[in-house]
Amino acid sequence: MKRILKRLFIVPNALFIALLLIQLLPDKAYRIEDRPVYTAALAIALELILLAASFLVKQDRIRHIFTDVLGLIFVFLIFWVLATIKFDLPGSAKQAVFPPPGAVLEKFTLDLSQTLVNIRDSLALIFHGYLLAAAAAIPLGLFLGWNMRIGAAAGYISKFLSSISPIVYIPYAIVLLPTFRAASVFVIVAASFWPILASTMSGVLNVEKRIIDSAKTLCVGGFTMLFRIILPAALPQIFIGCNQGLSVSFILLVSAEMIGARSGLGYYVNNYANFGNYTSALAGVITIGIVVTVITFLFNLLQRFLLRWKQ
Amino acid sequence: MSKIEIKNLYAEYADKDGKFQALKDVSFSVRAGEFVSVIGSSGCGNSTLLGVLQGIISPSSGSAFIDGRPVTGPGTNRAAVFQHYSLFPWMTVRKNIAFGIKQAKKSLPRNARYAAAQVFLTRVGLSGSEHKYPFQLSGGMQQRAAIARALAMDTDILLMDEPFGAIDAKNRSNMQKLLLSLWEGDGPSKKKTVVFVTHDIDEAIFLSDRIIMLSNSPGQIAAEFDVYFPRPRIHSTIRETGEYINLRNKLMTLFYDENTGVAAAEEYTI
Repeated sequence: MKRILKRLFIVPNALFIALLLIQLLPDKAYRIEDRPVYTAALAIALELILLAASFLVKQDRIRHIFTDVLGLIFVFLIFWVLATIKFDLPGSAKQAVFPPPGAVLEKFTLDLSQTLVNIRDSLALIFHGYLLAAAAAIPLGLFLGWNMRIGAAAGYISKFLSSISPIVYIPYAIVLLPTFRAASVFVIVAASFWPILASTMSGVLNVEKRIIDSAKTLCVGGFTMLFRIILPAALPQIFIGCNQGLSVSFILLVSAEMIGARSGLGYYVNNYANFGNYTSALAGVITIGIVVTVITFLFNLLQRFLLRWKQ
Repeated sequence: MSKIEIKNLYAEYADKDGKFQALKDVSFSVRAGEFVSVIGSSGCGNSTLLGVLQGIISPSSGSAFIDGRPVTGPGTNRAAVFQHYSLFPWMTVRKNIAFGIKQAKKSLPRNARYAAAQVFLTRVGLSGSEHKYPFQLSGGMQQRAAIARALAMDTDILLMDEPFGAIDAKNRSNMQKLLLSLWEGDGPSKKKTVVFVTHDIDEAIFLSDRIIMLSNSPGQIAAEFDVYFPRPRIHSTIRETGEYINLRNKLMTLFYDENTGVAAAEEYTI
């Protein structure tokens, strides 16, 4: 009994109740109509997850991740509701740019089928570019890192090139590449290539010399050395670059989908922002955030699996 | 003909203070099936000496010969065990050994490699741990696996660079017994030639047929001692003998004399 109460009387639960109660405050005259039902429905859905996690997850560490993250989402929603529809902090002239959460959630629900198509198309674009970049950057990085003299020179050149935003290349990509789609993929390739290349090169340079010596005494050379010894030894560091490349790819998704795309999350956000529909644009931004979180989580699982030999 | 022959070996490194002479005019030979230890304090060139034999370090001058042919690089007639990182951390223990076998005998099919790996794992007392990664094993178990890999490669020569240097005293003694029993287990005609670097005098006496002592910078041969105790050896028995104490004292005196050089060593040389 005492344990149940202890799991119930936690700050996130109090925040959930606060979020519901503030809906009862009187609304200001606001340019975008709020839909408090949607906010409440989301709050209840989150609360159910919170309760399930509080009582079903045995491990303290993982349960705390659930309660803390959900608590922070409640704080964010409370602040959002209060700042927009309840107290009108932006001021009436700027209201059109700051929709309340209920309105965004309503758009999110109405556009859900379109959003699923957008997610599919954007992921296809990102993985197309990202996998091309990784397939080129990892072998090249292994080669450059292993051949130290040419690698040192290449290091400076890649520092220079990686500092240029891929957005700069867009006009050239459109002129030089056959399709708009190819130009979009190119933006993602250009974004993720450099961090993966840099981390692969430094990963190779930092491989424990004793491991290489051990491999040499086994008469390992050539391709076996590069792909069976150097690649796995450098993999922990390569993953750092792969993580960065993935983040940058998502950041540049909006730019990549500016080029002739007719669907996709970046296109969706861009399109509605251009027409001043910030409620829909914001729904798109939140969708991108959710997709990035899920992909990052899956990527971390892959990383944990491939690096399971690390302490 | 001797199995290993080292002739007038010099090795120099450039470090931040200029040149560092790791080896100076080192010459000795090792008979087939002989167990030779090289003793010296850390940084006096014994690892360099082993690196030359492994073919991963080029000497400044002089050369090493194996079966009369000069060493120009690593070869599958030699297997190595280091103090750390002999095993590849991303391969399971069995995979590590199978990989070693593959490098030594390219033609052996995959199944045969894994079966052989299992045999050697059992021999070093690691059956049950074949699917573990090196980080999941204690230092002693890691070295057992490294020895299993070296033996599984079925080479004539075993080059060991302080293999038990990071293992606690009790396990160390067990590892020494294990190594000797595995080495003595091969019949006289198949016995491996071992060069074993250590800075533990008792370890060297217990294991070796012959001990070569290197002096400090530059690394030169200070003295050579034959160790006559019959095999199989039992540590507790030989430890009490007069010869053991006598030999140990001579080695200790040389080892702890900071100015150890060829001149000082001459009076001890048997």
